Amino acid sequence: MPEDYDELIHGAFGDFTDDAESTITSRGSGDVRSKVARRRRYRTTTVIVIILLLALVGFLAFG
Amino acid sequence: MTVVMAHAAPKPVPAAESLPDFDEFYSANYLRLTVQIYAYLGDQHEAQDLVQEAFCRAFSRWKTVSEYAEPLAWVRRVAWNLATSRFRKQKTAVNFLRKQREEHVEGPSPDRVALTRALSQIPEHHRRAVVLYYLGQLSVTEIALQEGVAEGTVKSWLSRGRAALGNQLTGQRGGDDA
Repeated sequence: MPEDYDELIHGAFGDFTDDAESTITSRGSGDVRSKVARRRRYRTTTVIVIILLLALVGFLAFG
Repeated sequence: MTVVMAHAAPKPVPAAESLPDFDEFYSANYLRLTVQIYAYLGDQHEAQDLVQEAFCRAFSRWKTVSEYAEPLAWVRRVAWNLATSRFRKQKTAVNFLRKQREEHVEGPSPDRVALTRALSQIPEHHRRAVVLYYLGQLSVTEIALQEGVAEGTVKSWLSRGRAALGNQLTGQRGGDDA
């Protein structure tokens, strides 16, 4: 019966969790904050560059 | 990636001034979520990257996410979606070759290897259900919501996954004892 495996699987996952938690290192929420800030900066810069390019193209075409 | 929070409505929404702090939320849930994804993918560093990415996405829209009844459910779903995409890509030959490269790191314990190996032998849907149920401690209803399937389907996945994983684990132990 599959239910018979419950204890075995619980034990295996318990050992796995204990073992994995001792080796997993968190980079911290500071890393998340800086990564998101970097992406926002990158996005803003990209938008500004595109607007400037469009303005330049418009100026060259019609100016 | 668009995540639909169909189950976000039932509980009352907290007032803006009582929004949960992101740092606390992160430190309370990062490890638990990483262990789940690690069990699913079998790759610890990949799991850490994916969970970090899920938290990045949550932080970039934290004002909205923190107002959900269960912000963790949102992050967990994003992390699992990312993991599923990554898992499917891992099936390609490129990833197979990448895994063959020589690495000199301290190896995981035999128990961890045994479980990872056993999990890799069972079908993907069954593995997801088993990991979410036993490791994530989600109920059948919660798993059904996350996966977008009927509860009966989850019960079927769990039953088959439990049997397959149990067989794998007992088979391995039998092999080790022999």
